[in-house]
Amino acid sequence: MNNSSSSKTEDKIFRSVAFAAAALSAAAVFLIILFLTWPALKALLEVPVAELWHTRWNPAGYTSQSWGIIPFVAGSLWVTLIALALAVPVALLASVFSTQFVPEKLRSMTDFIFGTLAGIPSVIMGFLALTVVGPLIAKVFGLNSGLTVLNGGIILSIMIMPTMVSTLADAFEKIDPIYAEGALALGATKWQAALTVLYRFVRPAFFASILLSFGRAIGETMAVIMAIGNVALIPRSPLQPGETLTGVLAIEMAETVVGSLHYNVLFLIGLLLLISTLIVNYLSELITQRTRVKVQ
Amino acid sequence: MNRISERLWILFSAVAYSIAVLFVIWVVVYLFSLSKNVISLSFIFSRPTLGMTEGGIVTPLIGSLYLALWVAVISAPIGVLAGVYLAEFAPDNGVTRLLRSTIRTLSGVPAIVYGLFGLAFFVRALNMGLSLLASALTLSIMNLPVIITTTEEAVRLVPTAQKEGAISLGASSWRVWRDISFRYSISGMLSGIFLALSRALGETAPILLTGVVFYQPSLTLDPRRTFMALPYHIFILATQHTNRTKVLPIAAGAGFILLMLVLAVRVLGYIYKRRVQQWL
Repeated sequence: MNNSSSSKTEDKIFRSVAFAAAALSAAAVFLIILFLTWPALKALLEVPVAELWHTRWNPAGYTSQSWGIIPFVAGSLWVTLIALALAVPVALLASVFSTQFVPEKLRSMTDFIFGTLAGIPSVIMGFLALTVVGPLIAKVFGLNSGLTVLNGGIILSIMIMPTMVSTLADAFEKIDPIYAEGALALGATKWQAALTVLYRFVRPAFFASILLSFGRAIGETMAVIMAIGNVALIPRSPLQPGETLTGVLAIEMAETVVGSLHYNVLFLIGLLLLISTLIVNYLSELITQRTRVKVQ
Repeated sequence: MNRISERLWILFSAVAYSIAVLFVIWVVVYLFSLSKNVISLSFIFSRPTLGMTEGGIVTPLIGSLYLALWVAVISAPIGVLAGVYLAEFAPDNGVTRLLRSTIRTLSGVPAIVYGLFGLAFFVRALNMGLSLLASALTLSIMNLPVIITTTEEAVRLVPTAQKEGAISLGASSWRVWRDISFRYSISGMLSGIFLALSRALGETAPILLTGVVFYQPSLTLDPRRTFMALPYHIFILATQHTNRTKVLPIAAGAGFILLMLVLAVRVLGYIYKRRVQQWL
């Protein structure tokens, strides 16, 4: 072994380079939090919280600017909740079908189909909302413009479908077949088995998938700004336009002066968005981990 | 009664399942039918002209492809190395758990937040200005979790017997990786890399604040310059243009080409994934 020392050096270098790569990736998270928090704090120093939790957003006002972000919170909640309401039943049905009725050999097909759906760029989904779904809504409800929170919710429901179906299908597949067989032996049909017996096992995954989809939906930008008209007012019904937290960032960020109060408040909105998605994702993961422990 | 409701339920679930398939097919057909009069080879290879009401999409198309190239060059080596570290070397301790949970956290960050970060960090703090490089770096960070996770999974599937054999013959961890693990896991890594690139090609929000512009007369290979990209081109044509009836077919055509590109890269990733599954 005359090359053992060079082999040891090789070993060391490789290990440290690999560690550096992992550490760099993890450092990105801290950098993101740091570089969002800094301008956000500056905004908080200038704008009192009471003024942020307000319904009027008017950053360009000559005499008095107002920084109420409630319209965006309301807009984000509207589109996200509509999307979940539409997607949950469909995703549940689709995941039962793909795990209980599609032959096992074709399971990877489900992966491929829903993967393809997930792969459609959000700007194309936005284009569909703008040119197809929106006009359709306008026609059905007799509106001047179909660019409403309903439009955003519909397009988002399709975008979160793949996440929901894959989480639910995974959960259904992990169930020991003995439970389904037991139910069938007692005379239940396949559907009754899925809805009553199997659902008990899937329930945690069901909530986890809802949380995960909530995080996806609230963070979606381009499709939503092309769909909902972007008016900084609180939507009173699904048939009114609105603007989301992501939307105000995408639309106004480029026009602001770096370091201005407007710029800093937008970073504060970004930080809020980041924190809320991280909390939701964390909760979803907590549920998944707990059930994993229980099953084992 | 029981039988009828059972059949109805099966029918409902089949319909729910097919929505995905039908939707994907419909999107492709819709974009194509809207743009079939403008799509041609010259549409792909000519520049937008006359205030983007005529001409083709070569500038945004090349911009997107060149951006993806930079993203691949930046994110693939870092992501693969980080994945290898987590699969092969990471000890079971607090540091590793922290690494894992932060990398998982990264995958939940909304695209527009990456854009904000890119603007504050790469464009401003590192003084890169609005540029292709700043956009590529921003997208690379977004891609890392995908590449890291798929690499880790792929490396874990490498047969232990092979590795142990090499180690007992005195091979360094680098040699073991280069001669054994790498060869076994390359398909898995490539599937992750292609998946991530497909996502990067279609993203708009992270590049929106970091360097993409709605019009640039000439093509450049200088990554310090701003650039045009297909997703943003579609967005601008569909929402900001005054002559909407005239540019809508062009937007649909650009959308069709983008969709084909994104799906092609995704299928490539899928093929490599299948290859991994066939070994098992």
